[in-house]
Amino acid sequence: MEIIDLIKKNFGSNVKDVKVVNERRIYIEIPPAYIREASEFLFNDLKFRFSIASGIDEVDCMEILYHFSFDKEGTFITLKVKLDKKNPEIDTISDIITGAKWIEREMHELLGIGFRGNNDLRNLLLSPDYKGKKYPLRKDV
Amino acid sequence: MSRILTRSIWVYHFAAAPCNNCDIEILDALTPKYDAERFGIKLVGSIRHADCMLLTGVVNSKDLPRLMSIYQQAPKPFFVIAVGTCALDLGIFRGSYNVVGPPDKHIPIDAYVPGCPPKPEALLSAVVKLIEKVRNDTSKPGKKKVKGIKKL
Amino acid sequence: MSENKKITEIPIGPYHPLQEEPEFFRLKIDGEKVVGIEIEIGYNHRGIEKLSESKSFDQATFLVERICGICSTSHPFAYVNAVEDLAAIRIPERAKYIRTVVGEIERIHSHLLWLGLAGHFIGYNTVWMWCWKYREPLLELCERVFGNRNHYAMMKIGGVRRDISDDQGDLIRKDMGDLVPKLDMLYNAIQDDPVIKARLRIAGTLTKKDARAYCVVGPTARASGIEIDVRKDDPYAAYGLVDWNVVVREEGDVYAKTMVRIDEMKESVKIINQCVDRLKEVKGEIETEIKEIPEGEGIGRHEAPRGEVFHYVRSRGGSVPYRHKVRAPSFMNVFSNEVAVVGGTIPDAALTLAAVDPCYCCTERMQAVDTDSKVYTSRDLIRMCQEKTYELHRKMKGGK
Repeated sequence: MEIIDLIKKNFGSNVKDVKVVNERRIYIEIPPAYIREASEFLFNDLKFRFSIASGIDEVDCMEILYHFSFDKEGTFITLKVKLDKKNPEIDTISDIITGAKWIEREMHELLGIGFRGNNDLRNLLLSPDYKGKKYPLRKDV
Repeated sequence: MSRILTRSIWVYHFAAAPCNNCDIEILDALTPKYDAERFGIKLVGSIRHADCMLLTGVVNSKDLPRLMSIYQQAPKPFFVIAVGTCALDLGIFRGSYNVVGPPDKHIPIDAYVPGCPPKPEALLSAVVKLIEKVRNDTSKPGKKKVKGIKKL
Repeated sequence: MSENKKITEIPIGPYHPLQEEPEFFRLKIDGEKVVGIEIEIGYNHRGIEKLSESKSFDQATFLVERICGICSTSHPFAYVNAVEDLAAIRIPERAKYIRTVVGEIERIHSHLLWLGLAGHFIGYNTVWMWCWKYREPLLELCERVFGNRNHYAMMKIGGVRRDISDDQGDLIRKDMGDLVPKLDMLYNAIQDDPVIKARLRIAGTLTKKDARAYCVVGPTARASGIEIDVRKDDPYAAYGLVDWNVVVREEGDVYAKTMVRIDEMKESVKIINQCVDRLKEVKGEIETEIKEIPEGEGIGRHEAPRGEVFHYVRSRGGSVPYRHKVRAPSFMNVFSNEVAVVGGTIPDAALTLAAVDPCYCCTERMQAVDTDSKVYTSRDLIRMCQEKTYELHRKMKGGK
């Protein structure tokens, strides 16, 4: 639990909401503009491992969850950001965490989320001549 | 003419978006327990050397052009065995956005092996049945028509 | 890299003779040295995440099982963990032990499969055949105890689908007993053989720093000195209730990855034996009844043979998941080849690429070969890889 206090203190007023499900599953909502600093703090300073990010097409917004794992204590911390549904865009974290490159490409092709500063957003999974509807993971497709 | 093919069949394995399980069972059929190689059945790396193709999986949009071009390179006459339930009727993956199969929509299939995954015994039995079919086939080998192959 | 130097491109894949799945690597070669690599995947994308949104919570167990044939219990394992996390379900103790047994048997047969393929890549086809021969009794065991060689369908939200009887327990113990001397034999063979050792030592080192930057998981990370194992860090099922160790090595090369896997198999045997013994004492229910899945979100993790499998499930009430995110270990591990291969030679590339035990079916939840522009075929690559071993063999013999 110390770790959550440390994070709260560091994030300061950028913490919009904290949901502690149990001691191993913690969800923290932050504004999209703060994502780079937040992931830098978790990855570089606290030495968390970046597990993955998942994009979700919610009813009123586009959500991205950044999952970080603190393996020493088995704590799983999820940063939640909510993006505008019409034009979902967020800063890239792939220059801070190399392992995030592929998942950003995947979210870009499947959900249509833009990543500012990531200039390699080619299709990862879908074929260049994929004929189905664009952004297949969106709910309206 | 195709009767010559009934001995020492060399197979080529094509994985078109499978779940990997059928593929492992195909390899399993070659290892000491089942040892398909004692019948002269051999897995080869290039379709140009093969008499028969084992096709697994549902075929997705990225595989399709490759499947077609590889099938074109196959020496004729040539047989295709579809392995696993997904290669039959897509199985649990029916309705996915990226799936363009089942494979028999695109290339002619000579034998189906159902199962999820089929056991190595089932694979060997499929090859035996195919050989019987070819041996008993008295008609003259004609060219099989393949839909859409001209477009490529 | 100066412009005038000639860089050759070698496409590997997508249809490679012995890697069962399609994947596509474009190696950039300067002389014999690999200077760059491009990885292309997608040949296996089946859109499982989307399909899951149209299946009920119970049906999704069978869908995720078919993400991958080798990790066919890892994905359901992580998925049921996620749903149980979401709905705060506690499972009976007996179910915990049964789950652990299934997970560990899968780990052993998956590692044996990898070891066999690695043997083939360096030209030791005997290793390949032996490993797969030893793997066969395990698959038969699965068929007798769980009902199928792969795709056991043992996992169920709230417990397991089938019980393991005492007789079946004895059967498992007997097979584990038979397996140990074979594992020891493999272990000694690799330790003692100077050629294998020398061959694996020089190939594909992934440093600790890179391992962290690329966020690799599983044996790939543990061979580079990163001590992570979900089973220990965030214990679930019966992993917290039995005694076992996490295997870590520092070197980061293919040799380390091999030894980590062999040691892990031994640990798995330990875990299975303890669980089977406990199953004779712990009787009772094997599942909790689930009425409905409430609104909420849950995260489930499982240490699959290749590393951490991650599942995220969000429910808005009702019978289907609203969002189901799947992250397979290879998604992180395959990407790390970007650094592991670079700097090595071409004969090492095929071996290094295989050393992470890639599983593209998982990665893409969905798999590449350029048939016209091939400079070397993948067969040539394996041949080159094998020739290097023979070369080494000759040199060492000559040196003695």
